[in-house]
Amino acid sequence: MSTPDLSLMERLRQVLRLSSRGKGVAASVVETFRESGRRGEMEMVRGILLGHPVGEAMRSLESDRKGGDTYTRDLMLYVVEQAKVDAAEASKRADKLTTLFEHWIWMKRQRAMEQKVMETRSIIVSAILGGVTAMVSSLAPVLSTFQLSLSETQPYAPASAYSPYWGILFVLPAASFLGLFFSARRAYLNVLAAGLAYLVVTYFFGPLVLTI
Amino acid sequence: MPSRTRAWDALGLDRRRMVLIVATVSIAPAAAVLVVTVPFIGQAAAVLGLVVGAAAAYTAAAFPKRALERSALLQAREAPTLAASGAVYLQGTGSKSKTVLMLHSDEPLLSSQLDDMKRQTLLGIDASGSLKSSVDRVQSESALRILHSIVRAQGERLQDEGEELESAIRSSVSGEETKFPVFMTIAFFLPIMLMIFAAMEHHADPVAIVSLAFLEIVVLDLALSISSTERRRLSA
Repeated sequence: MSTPDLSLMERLRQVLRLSSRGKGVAASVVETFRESGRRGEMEMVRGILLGHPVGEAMRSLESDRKGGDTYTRDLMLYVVEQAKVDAAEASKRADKLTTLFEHWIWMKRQRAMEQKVMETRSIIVSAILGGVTAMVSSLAPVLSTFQLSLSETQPYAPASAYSPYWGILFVLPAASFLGLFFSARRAYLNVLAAGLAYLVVTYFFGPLVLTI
Repeated sequence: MPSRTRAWDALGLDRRRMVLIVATVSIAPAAAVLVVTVPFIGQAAAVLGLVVGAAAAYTAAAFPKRALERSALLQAREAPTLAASGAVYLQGTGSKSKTVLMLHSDEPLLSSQLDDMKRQTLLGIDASGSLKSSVDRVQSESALRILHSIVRAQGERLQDEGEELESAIRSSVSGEETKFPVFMTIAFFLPIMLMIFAAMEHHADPVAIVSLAFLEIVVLDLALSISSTERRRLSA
């Protein structure tokens, strides 16, 4: 996505402009991309010069841009298919199409930036969750003395039976789900933040809470 | 619920089989929650099992509808290219049948619709007739409008400014903005509440803690699948 996509889109537009002036699609592609330093684009030019059909040669560009945007791919297919039929009409339409796609790419880029902010917030929330649960876990022996219960018969559990580290079993799934909600690839960061906050709070502040 | 069953019909899913699948999908987690938590939370486990079962049933029943919404979004995204291609082909060939034969789409449902239209065109059926016979696979209004313009050979009307896609994205973003705080609240407060519950109910043994953690995972998983519908659609 982003700048390479926008620049490729601009060059594909150039291909259509050249082909609408009577130049063949293959010649337009070669003229537009011949000075490019990108591997996929160089491969494409080489393929065309070796006599491969444009559609086939453009596949190397597509495989080189696996992480790229769908819109660029759509435009590439459009260039290959439509320029052969009516280059002038295709060029006229492509101008509108690229303007629209550029707008969508900008929207996507803006969304990606918002996502990064949200991811950071979710890591902060995970850390807070770890800290708060650690405090509650440390207070478990105190809370167990309250006479509030759903069931009539409560199992007996001495204060010493409560390990302050049990709470981490509740924190880690919640943190990983928070991470999965925002980014499956970076969910481990949420787990790390929550686990670390939990351990730090339990280790340093757990004994203090019990003393109070 | 009717909109969900309409989606089943649109995808050609057998209603009885879907009811069976939904029932199985809802009973399994409900029973698991009931069995695991009843020794620790008593009768409340039945209520919790019901809630979990209902949420699982909703998730399973709405799956085809979500698939159709995703298709509609992908088709709307392809609509501008489809319109431009259609116009170029119509202009270049002067024939709607040839135009139909040259169209293509990457979206599976739209692609199968186009394949059907091509097959019928090759069999000698008029392009407009071929579109009428199986229009339910085209989920996007823009794509449908473009196909209608092509089969009526209205090249001048073949234009799409992406309005449908923008409105679909906007509605998904607002849906996401509504569901995100709900999920955040569940993910934040559920572990704290379960920890307080374990302490106040005197559940200090590992089996009880692990059972409550299982309950937490089931609830979080359901909350995630319900809350992240829009996110998945937007990242498609």
